[in-house]
Amino acid sequence: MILLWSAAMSCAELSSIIMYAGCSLMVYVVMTVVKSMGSCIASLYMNSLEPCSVVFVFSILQSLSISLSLICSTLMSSNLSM
Amino acid sequence: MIGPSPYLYINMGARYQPCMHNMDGVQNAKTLPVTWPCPDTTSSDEADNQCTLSQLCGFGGVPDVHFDLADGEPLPNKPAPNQWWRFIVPIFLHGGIIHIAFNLLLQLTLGRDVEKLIGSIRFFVVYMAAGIFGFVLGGNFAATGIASTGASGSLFGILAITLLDLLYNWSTRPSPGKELAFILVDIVIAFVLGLLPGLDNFSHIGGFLMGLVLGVCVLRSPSAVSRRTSTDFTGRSKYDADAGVRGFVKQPLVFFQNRRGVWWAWWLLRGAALLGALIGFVLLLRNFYEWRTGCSWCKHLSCLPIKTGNSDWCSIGNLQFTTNK
Repeated sequence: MILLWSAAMSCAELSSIIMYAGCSLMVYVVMTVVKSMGSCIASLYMNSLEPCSVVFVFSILQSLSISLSLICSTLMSSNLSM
Repeated sequence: MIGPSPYLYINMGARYQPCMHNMDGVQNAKTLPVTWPCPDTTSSDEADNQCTLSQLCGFGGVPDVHFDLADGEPLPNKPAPNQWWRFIVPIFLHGGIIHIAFNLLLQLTLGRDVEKLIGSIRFFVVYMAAGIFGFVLGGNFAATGIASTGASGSLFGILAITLLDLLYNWSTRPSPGKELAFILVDIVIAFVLGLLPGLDNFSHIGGFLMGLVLGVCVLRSPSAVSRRTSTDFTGRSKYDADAGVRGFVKQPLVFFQNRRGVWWAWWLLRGAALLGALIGFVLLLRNFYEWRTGCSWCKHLSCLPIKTGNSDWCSIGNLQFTTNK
């Protein structure tokens, strides 16, 4: 949700077609990450960790970091306290 | 890239040389005080850029600078900023939405296939080693003021593994030519994009080189190399059931029996590749922290010799200090 919010927040200020293409790509990536997360959680109920790959864990970490940096950036530039 | 400013990323752990070791013009500055852009700055106005290096770097700050050095005195090594984790953390940071979108797209498609091919532990090792090596190479030869982030180096390592796997299994692939063309186009596009000013192409180059070297070590040997001299009437090796690490642990001696000369040569090459990777790491880290040997032509691996107005693409990203009067 944080990632979706961050993506939406950034997309709101965009105007050109190239930027919209970037947003579409981001939405696709977000959906892929969410799908991977879903299959990982589902597999935990079946005592299997196969879909919870290193790729998946790294992707989640990287998605969280970009969300965090966007939130920090927004708060800092708005002069809000962290 | 559509994302936060580089100064915020420096504060979050991007590879940024002034936070990692002493630098000429910073630690031995003759004009005081040396001020830096603040992590929350949104302008280039001087009034908004009055932070100390410690405030910019964050993570508890860095040691104070040496203001008492005499003219001509060499730059000391200690005390020095030593935020070494800036070689590791940037793998998980990205410059913006577009940057992470392209990287995740490659990671979730190609990366997943490679992880299935070589296993999670080997994938983790190659991913981290390629990423770190890319940042270490960039630390040695890239522009001094670039805040470098991204998993591109790691992904280039993964791309190198894909290339090696294709070459190993060329004869069994349905259309190897197309696959090779696809991989080469990927590599060329990424390297050319890395030549744009302010981008760190050394991460790409370093990650790819480390991926090739470690790929030789971690990928299963080509079947033409691993065939044994002794086979049964079906043409299969009687040792095939015990192949791999488990077989080696169960029967270490059998692992070496009936091997051909090319197999021994191949394993020698794999050992040399692993040793080469380790030596490469050690030499580059020593150069980064101690020797500081530069290379005059290396910058052209990361920029094109283009001049626009008063600015030269190859000087963009270098630290430049101005004196207030």
